Amino acid sequence: MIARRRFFSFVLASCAAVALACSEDRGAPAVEARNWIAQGEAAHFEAQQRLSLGDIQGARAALDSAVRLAPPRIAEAGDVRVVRQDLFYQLASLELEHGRPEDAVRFATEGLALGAAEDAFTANLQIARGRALERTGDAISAARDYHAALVISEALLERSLGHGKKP
Amino acid sequence: MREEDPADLPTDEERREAEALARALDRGNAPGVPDDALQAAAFLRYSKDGGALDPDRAAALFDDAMARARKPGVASRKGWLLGFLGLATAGAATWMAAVGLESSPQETAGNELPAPPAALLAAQVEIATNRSAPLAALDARTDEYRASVYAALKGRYRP
Repeated sequence: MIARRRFFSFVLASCAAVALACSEDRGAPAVEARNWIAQGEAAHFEAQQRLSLGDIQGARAALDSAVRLAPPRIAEAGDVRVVRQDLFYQLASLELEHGRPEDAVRFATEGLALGAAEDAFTANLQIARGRALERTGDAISAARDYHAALVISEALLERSLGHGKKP
Repeated sequence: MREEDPADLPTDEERREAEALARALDRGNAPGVPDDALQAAAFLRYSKDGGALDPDRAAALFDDAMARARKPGVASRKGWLLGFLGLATAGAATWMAAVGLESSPQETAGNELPAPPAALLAAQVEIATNRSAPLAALDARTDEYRASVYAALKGRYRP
């Protein structure tokens, strides 16, 4: 009887150890993903701070290094796209503001290559690329991007009013 | 009367062995009896009556043995109950671990972002339709929206 009790105590202790190990396995990558997202957010603050000091190159470097950071495997693809598209938008906007529309087109195109979604970040990139293409003289491509952005904005507006369908 | 020499008196160990031997002679077995003594007891018993057991004595031994015997049914039921509880606990722990793993961020793929404010959508429409509208207006509205989006994204990856 004592041996049986010892056996079941052993089984229970083993189960508890397995459950603990699983929760630890889950915790570490989640922290990694949070940190990766926080680094993206911090890059926006750093870029704005550097721009306010006139350090355009520093702002560009902060955004560029953040957008090149490899996301952790646990990070969901849609979340990775949002963070990176937002950083690419900021890069494109910075280049446009400082007279480099070709670079703005390049960054916006790179961001849009991550995927299109019916959200504000994809729409922002299409607007930024449209504005950059307009500056380079490619009005037709610009109009195409503006139209795509307007379709998204309209859908988001409809959804916010409760008329649209959920994606 | 002659005084007994203390050296002649049996020791406690000798007494115990003698009692065990007496029991062995009576019952045919006893714990703690040396093998050679047990063999001697068996030989004496066999030489006395050829190992035959009196029917009354046999009945008494049987009743005594039954009274001392453990009830196997009860012990078995307890064993099954403990086994079942152990398995149920192991299953529950495995299930909890599995559910915990499934609730990792992959499951949040369907989670929506916070709804963008109307001011941001209005800025998007304005800039997409008016070439003289500054992009800085869109930057400002996006900054406001960004805080809530990043808070939601980080909230999906709680350890």
